[in-house]
Amino acid sequence: MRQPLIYSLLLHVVVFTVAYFGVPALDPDMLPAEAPVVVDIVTVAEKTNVPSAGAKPKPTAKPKPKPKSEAERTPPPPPLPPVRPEARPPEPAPESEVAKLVPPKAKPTPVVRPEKAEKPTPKPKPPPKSAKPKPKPESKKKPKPEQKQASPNAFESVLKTVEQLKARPPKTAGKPEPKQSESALESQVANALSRSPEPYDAGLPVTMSEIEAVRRQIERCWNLPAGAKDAEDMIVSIRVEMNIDGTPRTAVVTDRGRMRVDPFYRAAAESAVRAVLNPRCHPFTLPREKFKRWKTMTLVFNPKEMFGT
Amino acid sequence: MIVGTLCLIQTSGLKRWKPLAAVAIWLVVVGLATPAASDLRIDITRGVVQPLPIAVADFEGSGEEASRLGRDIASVVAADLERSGLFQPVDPKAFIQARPSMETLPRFGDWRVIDAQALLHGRVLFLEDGRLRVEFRLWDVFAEQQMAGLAYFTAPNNWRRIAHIISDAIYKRITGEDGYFDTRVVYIAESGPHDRRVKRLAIMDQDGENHRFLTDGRTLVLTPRFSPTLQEITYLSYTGGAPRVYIRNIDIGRQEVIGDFPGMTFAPRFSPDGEKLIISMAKDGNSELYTIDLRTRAKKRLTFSSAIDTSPSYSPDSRQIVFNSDRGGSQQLYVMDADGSKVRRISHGKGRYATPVWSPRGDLLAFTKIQGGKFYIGVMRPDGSGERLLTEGYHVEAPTWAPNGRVLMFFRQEPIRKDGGGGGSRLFSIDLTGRNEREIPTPLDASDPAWSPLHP
Repeated sequence: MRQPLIYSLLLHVVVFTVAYFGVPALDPDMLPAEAPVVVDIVTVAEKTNVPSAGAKPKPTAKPKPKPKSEAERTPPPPPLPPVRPEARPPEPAPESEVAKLVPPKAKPTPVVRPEKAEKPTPKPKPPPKSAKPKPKPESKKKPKPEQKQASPNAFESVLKTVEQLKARPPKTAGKPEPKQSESALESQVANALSRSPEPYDAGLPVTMSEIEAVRRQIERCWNLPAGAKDAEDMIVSIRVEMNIDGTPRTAVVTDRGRMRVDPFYRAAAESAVRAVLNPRCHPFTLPREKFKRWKTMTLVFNPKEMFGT
Repeated sequence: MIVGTLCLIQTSGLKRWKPLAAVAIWLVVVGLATPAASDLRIDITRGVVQPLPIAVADFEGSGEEASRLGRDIASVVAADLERSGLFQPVDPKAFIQARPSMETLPRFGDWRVIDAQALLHGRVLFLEDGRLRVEFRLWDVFAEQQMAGLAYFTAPNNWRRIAHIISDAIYKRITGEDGYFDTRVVYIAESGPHDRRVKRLAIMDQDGENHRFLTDGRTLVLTPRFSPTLQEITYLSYTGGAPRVYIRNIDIGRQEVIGDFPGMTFAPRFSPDGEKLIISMAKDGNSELYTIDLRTRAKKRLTFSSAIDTSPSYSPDSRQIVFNSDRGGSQQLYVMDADGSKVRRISHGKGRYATPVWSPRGDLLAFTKIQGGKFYIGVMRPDGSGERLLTEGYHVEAPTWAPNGRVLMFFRQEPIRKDGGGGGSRLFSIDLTGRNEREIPTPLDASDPAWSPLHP
């Protein structure tokens, strides 16, 4: 009679022990110490959620080229910058002497363009092209790549070698073809993405496809400091505050200290800022409705990939 | 985390209340601030390599003479920048604001519209003492900030150098790297028929201006090299019949033979401090490397092998020497310590390697490579890795570095006859990236260029 009771008690003890401590690990070596894995959480929406291609923010909102009257813009000529009343030595030195010029007028450091008032228009309409004040035709003139540079792929590796050049000719008959078809494919994909049949929902976070679109816009305007020493290691982070129309309001290099001491870094950082501020690559195609999410952005420029190292 | 801290506060005694409250408040502040850290972040990993559009406006000047100088200076600067391949001067016809004033801010909108990312303008003034004052301002058009503003004082006939100095200042400000426009090039000017070639030493500015001959062509001269102290060059000359290494003062025009060697001396090059010469000396079919102290004339032998060792070049820190040798069976590149120890082979590719030159920046070696009947100009790291061939041709040879280690000059000869004859040789420059190959105009055929350091 007592035996079953003892069994029952033992069994209960075992069950409680297991429940409390868990099953003993038979081979403790099997479980290595857990190393924390750093994971970047990126929002990828289930459905593509991009405003239609034509839906650029209304350019009518920015009468850019001549926003100010002449009087406003041209500050009264201040007394010529203190170009040091440099002590002129009586004997004219054959070589040149140098004096520093101070800018005519102290400017607040980062460019601050007036934030534009948000238009109540619920849906941006495709812009009537003609409304854009067209500057002189000459302005179309793009920096033409010299000589051999007329390459079909602007993003090809920064460093050229003769061997690469030589490797190409065999396929030369239709030289640019493969690359063009690649870019054609890209544009097809972009088209397909932008022609998403799903209705656009502004409540969702900024998606990978939207980020990718902005990335492509900026990449077109980022002129790499190609041949500089250690150029591949110049990683520049820029904090951008945005206007609601998708234009950047301020762009500030995060590492100001290094800017001051390292001229190579300063050059790289300035090239990145120019990429952000270049009007050819604005406005960024970000959904106006998600403005809160992209009001400030951090752009990290890392050229390593381009050097193929 | 904040909740946790608050619980802790509740469970702790009153004594601890104050410091913990401070911690809690700090955490709340940090907690509230954290959304900023989760800002939208975009990684840009690709870009383009295009010249930077820069607007170079004519420098203003009061009076006809000053205006003309202003135009000339602007055009020299624009040409310098354009030739570097890193800048694309915007056509002045497109300018909306033709002449920005030195006293006021430029109308940045007008420059943005025509696609200029940088703007250069300036002014030329004649001072009472007859000197020239040339000032300029460089603007970042997008950021609407002055990037540089300098004034120079000089003699009026020095305007071309001032233009090059301004180009250097702009180049340095925008690329972070020293410029190379205020430099000269010495080279061998060639003329006459193939079998009676006349070779003369010639010197010119890096853009081909101010060209003049240093020798009259009666004796053969080869392989000129600039001294880092600028006023001197060293070269091989057949003065007196035997090939010997000479040093010549460019300004005075006096030349003197270096060293008293039993054999033929050639392939001279200065050490980075300009105090020594490193040369090859050939005797009985074997050539070895020597250094000569230019003050004491003391000689020191560096290599001891039965092979041909030649074309030595110092690293910019003077601690190593690269040279070429056929000690391994074929002509390859070797690096050794400056005292001749620790010789190691660095080139391992197919073909032969010649004329190595250490970059003034220290990060690369340039060389000529001969493979499969073709010549190449290439670069590699001092350990032999990362070989890249920049250009090729029937005959391309003798690379020389611009003082900033960014651009190479070499000569190229392409035959017009099937036997390889005909076709003059010309000087070319090429960017380290393999882009932007340009011919340097010379009045005669040209070979063996040597780039000077920046004017002091």
